[in-house]
Order: sequence, then structure tokens, then C-alpha cells
Amino acid sequence: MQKTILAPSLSPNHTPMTVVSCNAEPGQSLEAGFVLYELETDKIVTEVELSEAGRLVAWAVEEGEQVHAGEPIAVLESDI
Amino acid sequence: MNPNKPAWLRVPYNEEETRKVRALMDQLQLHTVCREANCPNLGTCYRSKTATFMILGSQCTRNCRFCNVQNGHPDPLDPMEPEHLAQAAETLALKHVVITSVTRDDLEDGGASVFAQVLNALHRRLPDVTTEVLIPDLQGSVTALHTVLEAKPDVLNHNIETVPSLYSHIRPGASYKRSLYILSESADWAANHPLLQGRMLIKTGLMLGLGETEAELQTIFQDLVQAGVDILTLGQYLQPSDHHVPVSAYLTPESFTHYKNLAEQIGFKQVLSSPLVRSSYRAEEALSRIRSQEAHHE
Repeated sequence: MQKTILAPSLSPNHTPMTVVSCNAEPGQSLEAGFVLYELETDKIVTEVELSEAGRLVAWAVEEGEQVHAGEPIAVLESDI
Repeated sequence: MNPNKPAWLRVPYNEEETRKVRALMDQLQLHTVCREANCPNLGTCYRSKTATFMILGSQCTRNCRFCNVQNGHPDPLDPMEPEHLAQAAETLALKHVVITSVTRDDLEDGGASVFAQVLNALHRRLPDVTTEVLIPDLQGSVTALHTVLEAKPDVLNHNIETVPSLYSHIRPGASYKRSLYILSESADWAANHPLLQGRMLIKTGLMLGLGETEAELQTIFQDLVQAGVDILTLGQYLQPSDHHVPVSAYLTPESFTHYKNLAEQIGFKQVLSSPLVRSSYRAEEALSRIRSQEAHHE
């Protein structure tokens, strides 16, 4: 089943966050807990882990791009 | 404009692992300072199923230039808040409960009676938990402060936040002397209480990286120890948004170790000092370490 990973709500200010790094290639199989990407807010850089294992299908963002909470980051194919 | 963030300012986050705490707080209409203040440790603390409760609503009557909590028209008090908070602490199986609040200068007692109600509700429902309150300055009211103290938290925390020379810029509406008075009065009250016999611990914290100097910090550490403060937290100031005061400097982890050593030499019982330390971060550990030291010396 394909699932779209959305940017988390890391700030109640609803300010945009910057995608600092995208850490996998499409087609790659990833374990739960893998740091899939990093988001920078005004305060800090957050390493966002995968909540479940799966295969990365595609990125919806590029490094350096700004995103808001709830916007798509990537598509993951999972077994669940 | 902030200087580039150094490599050590990185934190893990797992959406699924934070969900349980978020859902519980929403269900019981509770606030956490973790979320309202945009704390960098939210992912770490929620993952380990802990949080710092923020009572008296989500709107603060002050507008400190470092803080992300919203300033605005204060919320009406929720009469169910003490019981809901105790229920949440029970559900999360917390052993140490930390409660803070927005500043409520609109209330006659600054919200002190609600702090006491929350502590009483916790002590009734969970007699074995330890409690820590992080209180506002209550506008220096000794009556309001005693209302909180008489509910007997294990730790009374009031953050001094920064050095006196930066107060007018960083903490408009607050006063260094008033905050120091809150701490010294609490320490005196605890030391002279016939049942407590000094077992209530007094705690404070500062943000570093706002433009303070080492000489200023040394003076403050001496003031705080003289006031009777037991526990000190030192952490890096992080700018929540462009509307807040910018970071003056990112201190290295080694600098935090240097200030920890300095503060310990001056006389604090416990100092937590590193870039991501916040006033309630690992609060349970700080308390239990001091209790262990005390038991060892008895």
C-alpha cells in the first residue's frame, strides 16, 4: 500500500520549514526508525524518522525547499 | 539574523511515537509547554511518554521577547483542569510531574490557587508521584507564593532567565530583584517549615547566548546560591521566529561544561548544563540525584 508522508507540525507558529536533507534514493528499502529527511525550523534541525518500514517510491520535495506542516514530503510503499 | 546553526543542534522526531501524548492532551483539553513554547525536546520527551503541563490557558499576559507562548486575551479558567491533569499524569504513568503556566497578571493571585489545586489533585490521586512547579513571578506577591508553597511541591522552580542587564530588552514586565526574591522567599519558607525541614528543593534556570558575559553569570550564580537555590539549569537560547530576539551566540558544548563547573564550584547541589537543556528537561533525574546524595549523607 502506498502512503504519502506529510511534513509534521513542528511549530505552532505555522512558519515554513526548510528541507535540509533527503537521505534515501527511490527504490530503496528502509527500516522503521530510519532518518528519512531533516527539517530546519527557526530553532533547530529535526531528524524525522520513519514510523514504519517500507520502500521509498518518490520524493515530493527537494533539498533546500520550504514546506509547511501537512504538505507531502515523499511516497512510501509499505507492507501494511 | 541568526548565525548558522551548529551541528549539535539536531534532535530526533518520530511522528507515531508522539501521537499518544498529543491525543491525550487534546482529549483532556490540556496544554503542554513543550508544544506551546515549541520546545526542541518535544520529540524526545513525548517519545518517552513525558511532558510538561502548562496550566491557566494558552494565552500569556506578558510578551517576553524570547518566548513562543502566545500573548493575548487570557482564557477563562477551566475548573476541570486539576482533575484532568492528574488523570493525564496517571494515564502516562508519570513518576515526576512538572507543571508550569502562562503568566496571568489579570488574576488577583496570579493563578497561585490553581497551582495549589493541581498539586492537591495530584497528591490525592497519585500519592507516590513527585511534583515540580515552574511558576511565574506572581508579581512578587508573598501571599500568592505561600499559596503555592503550602501545597508542598517537591521542587519549586522559577526561572531567572537571563542577566539583569538584558532584562528590559528580553523580559519587559519582569524584574531581576523580584525573581530573586521569589526564589529566596521560597528557600526560607522551605528551610523553616517544621515538616519539610528543607526537603523542598529550589530551582532556577537561565538561557545562554543572549549576549550575557561570563562575569555577569558568575555574579548571578553567587546571587542564586546565596538566595538558597539548589538546582540550576543552563541551556542555549533558540530563537522561535523572526519576531523574537535573535541569538547572539551559539555556545559550544564545552562552554556549557565550563559554566557547569563554575556553577558547581560556587555551590549549587545540581547543575544541568548543555545546549538542549530546558528548565524541565530530565527534571526527574535532577531530583532523584539530589535525593540519592542526601540519603548517602544521612
